[in-house]
Amino acid sequence: MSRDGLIMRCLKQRNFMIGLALTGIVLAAAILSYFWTPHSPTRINVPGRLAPASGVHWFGTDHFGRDVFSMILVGSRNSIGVGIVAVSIGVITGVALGLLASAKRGWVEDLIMRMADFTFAFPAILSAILITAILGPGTFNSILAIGIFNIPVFARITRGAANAILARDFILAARAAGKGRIRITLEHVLPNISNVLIVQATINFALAILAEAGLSYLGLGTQPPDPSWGRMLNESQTFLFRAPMLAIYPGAAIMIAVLGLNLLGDGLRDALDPRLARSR
Amino acid sequence: MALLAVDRLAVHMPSPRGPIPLVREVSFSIEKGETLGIVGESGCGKTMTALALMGLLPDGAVPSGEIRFEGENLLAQPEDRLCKLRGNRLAMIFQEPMSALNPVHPIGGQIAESLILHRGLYQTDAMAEAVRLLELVRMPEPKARLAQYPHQLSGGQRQRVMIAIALACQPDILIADEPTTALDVTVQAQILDLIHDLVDELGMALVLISHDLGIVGDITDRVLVMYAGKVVEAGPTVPLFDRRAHPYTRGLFGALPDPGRARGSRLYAIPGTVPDPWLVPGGCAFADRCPLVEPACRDEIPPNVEVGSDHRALCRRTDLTT
Repeated sequence: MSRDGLIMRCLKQRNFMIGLALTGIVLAAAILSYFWTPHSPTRINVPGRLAPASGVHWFGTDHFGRDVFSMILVGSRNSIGVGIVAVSIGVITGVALGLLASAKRGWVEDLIMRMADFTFAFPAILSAILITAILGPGTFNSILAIGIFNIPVFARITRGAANAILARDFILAARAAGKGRIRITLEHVLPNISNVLIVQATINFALAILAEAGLSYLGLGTQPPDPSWGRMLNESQTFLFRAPMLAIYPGAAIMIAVLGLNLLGDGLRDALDPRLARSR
Repeated sequence: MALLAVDRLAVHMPSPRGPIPLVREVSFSIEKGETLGIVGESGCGKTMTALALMGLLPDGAVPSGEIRFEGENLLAQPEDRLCKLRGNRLAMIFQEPMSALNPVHPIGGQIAESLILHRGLYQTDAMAEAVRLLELVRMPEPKARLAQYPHQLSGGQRQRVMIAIALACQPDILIADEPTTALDVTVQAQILDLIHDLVDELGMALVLISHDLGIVGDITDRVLVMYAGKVVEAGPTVPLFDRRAHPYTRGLFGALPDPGRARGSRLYAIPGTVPDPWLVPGGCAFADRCPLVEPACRDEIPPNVEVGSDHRALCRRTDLTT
């Protein structure tokens, strides 16, 4: 599979292209928010509260008179940041544990996999609430909580994919060439399972954004005055009948980010594994 | 001292029914520059013997006996010592060139890796050496190949790359496990010629594993015939091919297609199948399929009879096969 071929196949995937466009919008919003927002997202202007959408406030204002559009822009930073850090925690730790399990076998593998099962036994969001309840609310703790629950996902996927690769002939050939376990794991196993990991990371990125919104909605995530999509949803519910659009905007932002990343992951999977795409 | 001396090598695989013998009492030795063929049908323990030599037996398989490489018992060595020998002093070529190369790395890097690992060469020197090795295995346009991925090569070319990797550190012993089985006939001949020439040129010892008697007869000095995990006949190639002292060796030769035979006549096949390893009978393992069987064959372990100079067969009826 050459690199050019892969890019061409990606571009032909409708899912991939839609996903790329939606993710691109969210990413562009986050980058833009560092340089420009129409108003300060934290400036309170009580007389101008709950204003409808207009030329001045594109998405209107909330119950403190803050500009919703600016808050959405800055909130995307928060979602993307939490996603990146939480997924990185999951990927780095999970992949290392998964590779260790498949390279060592025996009791090491059993121990790691039973720990993964143990973590899976609790619903992720419930455990995240537990962790933030113990450590206290805040962006950092919610990242940690979400990251911890990404670890077993990646540990399992890595181990499964690595075990399949370890059974292949070229691993035996690599051993016959005198390579040790660590070298074989890093040079032969990891590059061969990277496509599976990339796809999973994309999908878990979406789940992390959703989880962060969930925690913030419950008041355990990002704290005021930093804008967060989840907390905007929470604050808007009191005014659901007076200003329904206040809930629609952050909801739509979350939906665009999650849908975009899921489509991107789907498209990547089909592009990386053409057999799967054909069988659908 | 022989370069490689194998003494009563056995390989057992544990199972709920007790250990299954896959290789039993295999003994042989190879001198520098010598070529040894191991023949036998599928499941006779050829590949297990080769993997035992490399220390690459599948998880769980337990070897016993001795494998002495320059006097050092390989079965007693720790893994990191074996890693230093593998690919450096002992090298192996596999049956399936299609799957024995890593699909995600260009072949240049795969050849250079061994040189960097064992010889401590720098990347650029290793790449230059990789070009020389590709020339050595007569790969057309060696320089241009370095950046190619395995899927861009034909089966024969991939096997040439495998040979180049195996030869990278000029090993003392090359083990070739059915190196041409997956290739078509014309490519087969080219690859065999190549292996034969390189063994002569570089003075390596060769262990050639094959079920193809023609191949083994062409390029080996000595032959082991294996059946159900045991060596049933061993000797210098030419006398062994002439004498065929063990009835199983005769059966193998009988099963070769003969272009001169009448059209439509049936090919000869040895009756029956190889016994399952855990059901190997107490006496001669070949007794149930042997045309010369007598009652004693089933009860007593057959004697190791000297039928010629340095030529032995594990059979009590060798007097009938002259």
